[in-house]
Amino acid sequence: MKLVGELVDPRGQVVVSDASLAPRRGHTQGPLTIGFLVNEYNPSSGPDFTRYTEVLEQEFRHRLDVTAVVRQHKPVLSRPAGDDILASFRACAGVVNGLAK
Amino acid sequence: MGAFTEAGSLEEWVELAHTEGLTDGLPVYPPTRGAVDALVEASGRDPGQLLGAIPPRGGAATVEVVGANAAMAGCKPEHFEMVLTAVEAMLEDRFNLRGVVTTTHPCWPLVIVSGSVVERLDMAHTESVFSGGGAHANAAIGRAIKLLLWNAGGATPGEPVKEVFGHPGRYAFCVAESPASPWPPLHQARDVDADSGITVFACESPTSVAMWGADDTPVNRLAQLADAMAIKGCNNTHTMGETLVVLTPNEARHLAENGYDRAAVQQQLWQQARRRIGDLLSPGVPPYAWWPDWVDAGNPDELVPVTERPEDIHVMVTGAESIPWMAVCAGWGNLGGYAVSRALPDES
Repeated sequence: MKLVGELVDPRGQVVVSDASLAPRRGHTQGPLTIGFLVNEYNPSSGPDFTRYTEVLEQEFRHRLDVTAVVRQHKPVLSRPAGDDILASFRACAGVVNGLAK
Repeated sequence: MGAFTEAGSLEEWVELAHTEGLTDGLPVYPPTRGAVDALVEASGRDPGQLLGAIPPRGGAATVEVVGANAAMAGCKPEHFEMVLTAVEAMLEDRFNLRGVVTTTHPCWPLVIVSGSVVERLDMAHTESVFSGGGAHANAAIGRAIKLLLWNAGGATPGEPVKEVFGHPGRYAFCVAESPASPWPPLHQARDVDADSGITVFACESPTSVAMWGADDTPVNRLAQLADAMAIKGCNNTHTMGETLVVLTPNEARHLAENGYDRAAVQQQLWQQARRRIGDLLSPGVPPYAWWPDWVDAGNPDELVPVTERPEDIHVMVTGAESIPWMAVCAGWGNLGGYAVSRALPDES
């Protein structure tokens, strides 16, 4: 006996974003500008991602022809970075984003 | 839905729901075509109408998909418009639904129903109101929201949900405001000009505030509540944002009889619910960047309020009439989950 007939999928089709990935850089030859986006509450109570980006900056400068660095701190870590922050990274060859854990 | 149509019995459906991950562990009704169509028809909306993509998975919340989850929750047709309105409210940017459902913090969307619809749908608003109060509507509406976020949103523990402890309201979190409130319904206080409305707010479970030691003086009674609003481990205490306080109808009437309207309660609590910066930050910890400029962040004796503005303290009235009581449902802080209110159609 069929007690359960046609069922409706409760999950819904995934809505595909029309955003595309930024173009890949084919090389890492300088001069380069590197960006860092810090995304944590408070460096003094956590592992300190800002300090981590400083170490990374030294490495980048050592290995690549990095001539400039843009470092930003997201004001609200749970929200995407605002347009003003994204605009400040426009000249960057790459942006490192994250939080230390 | 492919294989699910092969379920030959209710027992088989229950098993499939678990094995296919369509539920969080509790049994659910099968989303049959007939049950879903009845909900959609009652809403008067097009089944394909897209309310938005439910983060983080991005499942399309069409009216039909929301209906499928509402059917699984056991919603009746008269409950469905409230579910749809709550979903639309949660999808507003200021609510930051993606963050709310995936954060490490124990907050979850609380659906607050206010206005005449509360009595019309026989919603619970007295004893045990935060656990559904034994009413069909409270439980089914809250459960429908949960299932939609689970199924369309993919909000499952571990990946992607990082909530450290969890929140009992994740099973169902819907309350109704008491018609016995001495003040206008919550949605009207938030500038929604309608007889009935919905407010969604991401918050923690209620923390009890009993009136031990307090006399009848409103300032002293509200001080009891303010103390609970500004505990040291609370996100609001450190980051502001928004918070919700709950008063029983008899407590609210006592305040009203002493000249307090809702705005006066908000103002009084905003003045009282504060902590000294020197007590909040250990020596050497810098002040927070999100505090507004008028906070004298370099002064350890500065008293910081739990919200930036009095109106960010949401005041609702519900619960039993037996004993005057209060509660706090702390928010997520300045990270999101801010209250959004929407009107319900007159006939809902």
